[in-house]
Amino acid sequence: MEEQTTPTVPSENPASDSRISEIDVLQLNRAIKNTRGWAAFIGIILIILGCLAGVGCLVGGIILVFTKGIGTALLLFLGVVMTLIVIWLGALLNQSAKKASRYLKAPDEHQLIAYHSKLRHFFTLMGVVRILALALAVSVIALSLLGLVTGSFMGIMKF
Amino acid sequence: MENAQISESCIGADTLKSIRIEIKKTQGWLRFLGILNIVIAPVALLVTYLNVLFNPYAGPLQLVVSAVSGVMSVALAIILLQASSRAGRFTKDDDFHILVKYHRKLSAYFTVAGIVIALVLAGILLLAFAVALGAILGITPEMAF
Repeated sequence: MEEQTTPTVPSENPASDSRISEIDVLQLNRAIKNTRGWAAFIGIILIILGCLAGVGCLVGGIILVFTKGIGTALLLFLGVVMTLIVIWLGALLNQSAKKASRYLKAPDEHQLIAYHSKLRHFFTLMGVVRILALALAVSVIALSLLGLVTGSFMGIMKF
Repeated sequence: MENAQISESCIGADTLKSIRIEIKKTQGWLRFLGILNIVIAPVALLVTYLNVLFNPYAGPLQLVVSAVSGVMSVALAIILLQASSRAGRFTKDDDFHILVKYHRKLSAYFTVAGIVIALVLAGILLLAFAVALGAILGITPEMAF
């Protein structure tokens, strides 16, 4: 029977008297263990969906380019970029799940830091994608309104 | 045995410092995503409601699906905002207990998101199965409804 010790790490902040006990680390590990499974699941789903969407986008885009002209190549490019981002998001989640697994298997602090780093990259990329999507949606709405107003002034469209 | 493993996994002060730096960078994005989700959910619901109101081909089922997805989106956004709040408190107070709470919130976020994705996938597979079965038996949507 190994001797059970209670390791403590003094806080850097003198105002806080928090100490890290075994129970705290156990609770942290349990939370990370829960996150790991779902993160891996979502990551795999994102990669599969991204690959399927990528193949569909490539096939559809190439057909569109050959039938409707080179003007539709922008759509193909946008579609491929979106699918690549989805695959990238899935890969980041998978990597974070792997780092969490390695940390839980053989406690290595570097793996714990890498896990946090991968999660940061995931949320950052998700945020950037949302900003781009929002910008794209706003620009499409603005261009549509501009076209509507211009068309009505030129007498092309009548309300 | 488990306790022995945990005592090996004691987290050092340098590691906590590195984690704090990572979480500090994540916190802003978590808050941004949370606020964006809360704002977008009602807008998406309104757009679907208008679509159901004016589009003769859109049915009430679309509104129900949109409402459910809107509620899930708001729930995920609230969890993200709570995680962001805990991240902020951890970087400020340097309290390990808050780090555990932050991770619990992240766990809740990925659990809810995973369940939603699993349900959506199950629904899609069920729909595909029903359509394939209908095609084999020669049942058209008009005959089914």
